[in-house]
Amino acid sequence: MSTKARFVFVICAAVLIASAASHLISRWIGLPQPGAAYRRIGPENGPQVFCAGSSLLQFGLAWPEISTALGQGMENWGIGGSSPSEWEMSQPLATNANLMIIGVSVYDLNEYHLSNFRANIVPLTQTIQDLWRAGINRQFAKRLVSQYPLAYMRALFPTAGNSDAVLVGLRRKIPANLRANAAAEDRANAMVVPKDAVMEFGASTEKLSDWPRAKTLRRLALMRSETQGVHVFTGPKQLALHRMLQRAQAGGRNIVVVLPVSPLYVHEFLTPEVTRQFEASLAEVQKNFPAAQIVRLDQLPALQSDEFFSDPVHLNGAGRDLATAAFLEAVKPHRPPP
Amino acid sequence: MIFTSFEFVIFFVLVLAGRSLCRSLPAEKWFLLVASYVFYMSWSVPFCLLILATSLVDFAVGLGLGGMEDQRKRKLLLTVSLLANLGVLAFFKYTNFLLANVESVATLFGTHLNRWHYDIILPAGISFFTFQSMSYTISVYRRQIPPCRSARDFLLFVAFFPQLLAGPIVRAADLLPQIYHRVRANIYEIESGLSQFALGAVKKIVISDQIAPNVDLIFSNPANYDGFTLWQGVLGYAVQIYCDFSGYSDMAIGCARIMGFHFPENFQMPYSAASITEFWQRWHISLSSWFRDYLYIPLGGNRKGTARTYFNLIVTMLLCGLWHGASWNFVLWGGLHGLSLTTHRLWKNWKPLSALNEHAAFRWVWTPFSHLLTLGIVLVGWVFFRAQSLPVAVQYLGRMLGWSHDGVHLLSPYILPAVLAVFVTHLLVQKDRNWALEIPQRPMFLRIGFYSALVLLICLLGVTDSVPFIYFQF
Repeated sequence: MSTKARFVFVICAAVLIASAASHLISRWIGLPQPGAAYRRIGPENGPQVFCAGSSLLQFGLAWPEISTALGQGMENWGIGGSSPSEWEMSQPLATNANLMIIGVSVYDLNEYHLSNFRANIVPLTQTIQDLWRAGINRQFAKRLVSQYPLAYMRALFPTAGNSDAVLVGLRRKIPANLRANAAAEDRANAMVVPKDAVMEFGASTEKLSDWPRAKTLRRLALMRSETQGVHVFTGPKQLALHRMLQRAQAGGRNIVVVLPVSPLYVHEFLTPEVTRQFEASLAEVQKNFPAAQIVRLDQLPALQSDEFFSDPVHLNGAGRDLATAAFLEAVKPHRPPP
Repeated sequence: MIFTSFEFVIFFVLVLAGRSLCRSLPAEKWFLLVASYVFYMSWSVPFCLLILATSLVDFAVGLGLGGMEDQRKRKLLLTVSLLANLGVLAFFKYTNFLLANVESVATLFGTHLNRWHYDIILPAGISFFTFQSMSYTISVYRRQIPPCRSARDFLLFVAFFPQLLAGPIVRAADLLPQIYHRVRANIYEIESGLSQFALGAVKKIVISDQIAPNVDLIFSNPANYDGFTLWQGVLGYAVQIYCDFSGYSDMAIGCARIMGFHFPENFQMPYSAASITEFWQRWHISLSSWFRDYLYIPLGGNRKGTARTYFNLIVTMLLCGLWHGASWNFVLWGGLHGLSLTTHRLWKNWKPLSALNEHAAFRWVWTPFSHLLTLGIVLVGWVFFRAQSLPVAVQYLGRMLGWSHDGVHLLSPYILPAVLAVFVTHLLVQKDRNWALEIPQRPMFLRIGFYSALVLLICLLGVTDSVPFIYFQF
């Protein structure tokens, strides 16, 4: 074999071995796969409710109760860490929907908070169009566009660009094999997305108020580094949200649920200016889509405590019960007759 | 466009492809020059003119020096070059620092001045390209090298993209001859360049970027944390800055080698040093040798008596500190290293030491102690280097050295494993080995194993959000 051929062989073999290992590790730690997970609940007959939202919405409301109260089946295409840009892509799949419940928050409407799987779901042309229309800064545009080569690379290396999920997976998996009891305890408190296609998400008993200070600081540091400590509400996500509401308006009713984030998150990230910008973006939604009902769970006084959150942004079981009651109360006048 | 971004990978592949299509050496040089300026324009378009202007001044000075015998005129020409380079550096980097200090001194004497502050953007890589350019004119002045006769070649020497933003500061005597002649990498050089690039990427995105949020968290508010956490913070920063900067250097050297160019090594296991003198022979070698050759030796080096030698050492290190940034923190950091270097020199010249060194028992105790002492000094220095201000640095050191028990006890799952990995490597691996050069000569199965491990590490633990290199701010 010539030197050149040996070199090519070495490089190809190294890439193949690393790729195989990446696939094995991804499978072993159960790394979330790109693409949406379809879930539903309630009667399958008749018009359905299309629920669009991230895990904040999934865990923030008790869907079996809501389905019973509304008397309708509900459908959701869930994507980890998603936002309107990704939800928009599943909207055409809900062909039999006469009501859309869309859950937004100051956390997932932040343009700087990106889903790991955005590039697998949103076409590149759509992203470029949105970046062009929104006139967003070059640095952020580069960050968004560079997700696309990463998505292509994930065909070969599914763990690429997913180091947080890999580390969390390894930390969860290794003690699970070494110490069964500790792992069981972890699982009891962890927010685990159901494996079955049912819209019934476990109620976490964990309380953010009980978190050790060190754990809180570490999590906040990670959140800060992910978004570079910036909150911006004008950009591709905002455009996608408006397009979704526009489309849904033609097909039926719209409910926009504004989900709460913990007081800790508010204290750490939401300056008066950020809050003003968020309110301005909601006001624009209301102005452009006056028929949409906006339910402000984020302004519910009962939820203004870290006791009702399992982490800085997700409601726990107790918080979910309060939020569900308030949500049903707010949508009651519009309930369809039995 | 940073080395760890997809943009750079695409850019570099295009450069390699474009260069291979160039039929003649002049065409190839023009191509590399344009590519280098395009690379810089991804950071800033207007500042390209600044590099162009300073390069042209130095090119003209070099030509002038080459054809001139009158020593007074030669000195004058050199002064023009130094003033142009240092003037640009001083304006962009030190204006606000100087004004703030003038204001403080005036306040001290009871005069109140209006606060002066100008919004000056620091051009990326300014400290590096000005030093590289100055090294050329000084070398021509000293008649160590002939002047470069082609403006294109000289512009390429200053702006060559792998080393433009953060070094290594390559001397004209090393790089210009490689530009004059057509260089091409053989398979061995391509493989060793690739492996050095991958090693650098692992250091940067797997270690440095991974621990950065935790280190930032600790340094952002040291009063919040107990002594253990603060030790963890400074150890983490020591690893972060080493992996960040040596990672950048590895990637720069790797890129250049893939194209057939040879840059000098910039880091050689600095934390394995047994003295602060050895530390500076292993840390940012291209900068420390620049200061040695162009500042310490011209000041008199060690040729003008003991007291003058110590003075020269301290002045050199104070200026080295100031080179890193316009803040008293950096000056103090340099001062600490200067004092440590003089103390080490005093100790080395202490007569009874040579007698003591002959006893195995002394060496057995002294060797590990000298390693720890060196590391301790370096760590204390990093606190000044990283802290946001002088009072914060003092507070940090007070709580860290006093092993304060109050405050949050934070055990980062990332910092300690990274610190352990880097320090164990420094202890176990022979200090002067260069893996990137060695691996391509090993048996095939070892090469495959090593490269797949590097690729897997990047794909498992690499942070893909491009985080700029720490040394870009200098």
